[in-house]
Amino acid sequence: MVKAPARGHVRKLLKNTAVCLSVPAAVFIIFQVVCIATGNEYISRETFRNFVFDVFKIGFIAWGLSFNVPAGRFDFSVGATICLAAIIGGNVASALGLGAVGLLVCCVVVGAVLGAVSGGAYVLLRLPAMVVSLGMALILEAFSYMLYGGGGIVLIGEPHMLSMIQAPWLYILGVGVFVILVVVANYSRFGYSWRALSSGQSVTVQMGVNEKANAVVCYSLCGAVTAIAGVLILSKTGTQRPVLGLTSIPLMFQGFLPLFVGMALARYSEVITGILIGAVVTGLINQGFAALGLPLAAQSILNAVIWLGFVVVAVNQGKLGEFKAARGWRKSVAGSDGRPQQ
Amino acid sequence: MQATDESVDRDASRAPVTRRRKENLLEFVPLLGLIVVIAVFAIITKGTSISPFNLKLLLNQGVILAVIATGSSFIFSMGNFDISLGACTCLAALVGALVQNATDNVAVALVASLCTGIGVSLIAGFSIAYFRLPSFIVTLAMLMIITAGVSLIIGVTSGVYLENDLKRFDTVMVKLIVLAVVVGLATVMFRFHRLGRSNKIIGGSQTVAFYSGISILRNTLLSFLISGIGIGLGAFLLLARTGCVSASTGSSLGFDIIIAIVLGGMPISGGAKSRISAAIIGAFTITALNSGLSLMGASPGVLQLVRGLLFLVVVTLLVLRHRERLLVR
Repeated sequence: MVKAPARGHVRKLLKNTAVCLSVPAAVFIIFQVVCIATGNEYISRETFRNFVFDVFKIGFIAWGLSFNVPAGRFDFSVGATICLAAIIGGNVASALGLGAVGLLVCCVVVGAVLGAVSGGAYVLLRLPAMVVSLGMALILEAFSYMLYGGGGIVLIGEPHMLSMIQAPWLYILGVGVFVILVVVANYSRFGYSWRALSSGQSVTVQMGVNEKANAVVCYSLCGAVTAIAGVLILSKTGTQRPVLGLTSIPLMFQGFLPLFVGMALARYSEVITGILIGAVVTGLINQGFAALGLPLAAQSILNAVIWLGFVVVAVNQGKLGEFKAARGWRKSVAGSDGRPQQ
Repeated sequence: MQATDESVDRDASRAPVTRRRKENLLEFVPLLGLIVVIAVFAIITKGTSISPFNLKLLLNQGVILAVIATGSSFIFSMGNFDISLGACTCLAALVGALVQNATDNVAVALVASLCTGIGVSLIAGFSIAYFRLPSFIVTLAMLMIITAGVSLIIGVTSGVYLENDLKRFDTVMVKLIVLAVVVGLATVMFRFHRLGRSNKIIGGSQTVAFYSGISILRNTLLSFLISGIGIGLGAFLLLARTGCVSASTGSSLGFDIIIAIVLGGMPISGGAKSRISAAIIGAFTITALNSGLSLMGASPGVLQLVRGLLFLVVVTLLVLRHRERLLVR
């Protein structure tokens, strides 16, 4: 016989799971219906691999962003970190004759170091995170151009280094990083401090949490996780060219929609899982637009509009509640003898 | 004892005067920076950077930047941040070019550029003010949307070329007149109109501004409107200068404007120390820096590295005395 509190817990768990799964399910159903109506195929056996690649690539960027953005540290340098980590890591792995795992390790280590440098700059300069990250994005982009003669990294014709996007490895990598991040975010001392600092900086610092060390670790983790996205892109295209003039920002931008969806769903699960669901939602939207034959530029516009719309709704939830309450009050006034009900 | 008290009082009354004098002197540091940059590159390049040809080039490039930066000063003075300025300029220039080719009427093309700049800018301003969104979020989304939109219209590699060029407007005299009019009007608006004064109060503290009866929505919309006019004029001058528009037009302009405003001595958080002169001095400083480094044979990577480092150093120096104990978010 199940006791009442346990039954309530199970009911809550089922409700939360249903809410979390309803979002990607709704997106899938909408695009499936539209694709059937327009005579297009939504997700086929051939496009499924692309979909999975897209989900993990976007997911890694969003997971990386989640260490800083929810804490109020907007980071423009993520795209530049991804490119530079892939260029340096790829060249080091190539020079050492390493395989796909070696490439992954090199890129992750370089990404972590670059992230720590960005975090160190933020802590030392004590400027707004957005300002520091803008400067760091310019500096990291400049290094991507100045190193290796401006050639970036070309691994075309080196299939043994590019196998990380093949079927078992991509799933192992994705699930492995997901599990590690869930443990780090929810069951570690760092994760506790990180969540506390995100909720209230001043109080947490007064409790004795080392804010500066936590910020540097956050930036370093962000660099390491987003560098994996760089490995996936490098493994798919075989090249990573240098970037200049803040052209790395669109790469960072890909992680925003899943991040904000994840943050909204965090109350029904936890943030890392929410972001994964957000990445699935973004992947479904991207596949849907591609199935409908929309050009990449149009997809970018629609993604940006959807993201902006999502942020508008998220920021103005209180306003929406006030509006509903005011409408309800007006209705009650209209339904009574002209005086508001007590 | 009484004498000692009097001397203390005199010192105390003198202190604010000394501080004010010091602050007045500090206002000239950005101008000094511009002179130093020009002088240093003149020495390094053995006078090449200050040859009549290069000075004309400097003026040609600097005026476009200064016009857009002057307009956007109103946004920055409120503590707002616009990273889509380069993309907006590109779109306004593109619309201007398409209209010029379709109508062969310069006035219509100028109006089209202006309307595009104002329209795009107002959309951002409305989203920021009405939906209470952070300005960097809105302008980041605008950057993505406009960049993709321009690529969609003209393609990533191709461009739109003017059938009849606008070279007659690409003269130093025209540019100086435009700059003088823009700077004159902006200075009047900023110093003597309610908009400029209330913008500085908003930049200092939105809460204080709100309780003082300042409409943040109205000020934001007006500031973005003025910025849009700057974008439209800058885009037209850019179009007259280059004669074509591609997806990469104005790509470095957006960040150059942010660096220019910072180099000119305006705090990135806006507030009481905001001033129009920062946009002008900063625009010519960054143009002189870019030009000097290019003359020295610096690669685009080195150029960007110097700009990035300079940006961080100057912003740090500007806020050195006002840094807080907790990390700023």
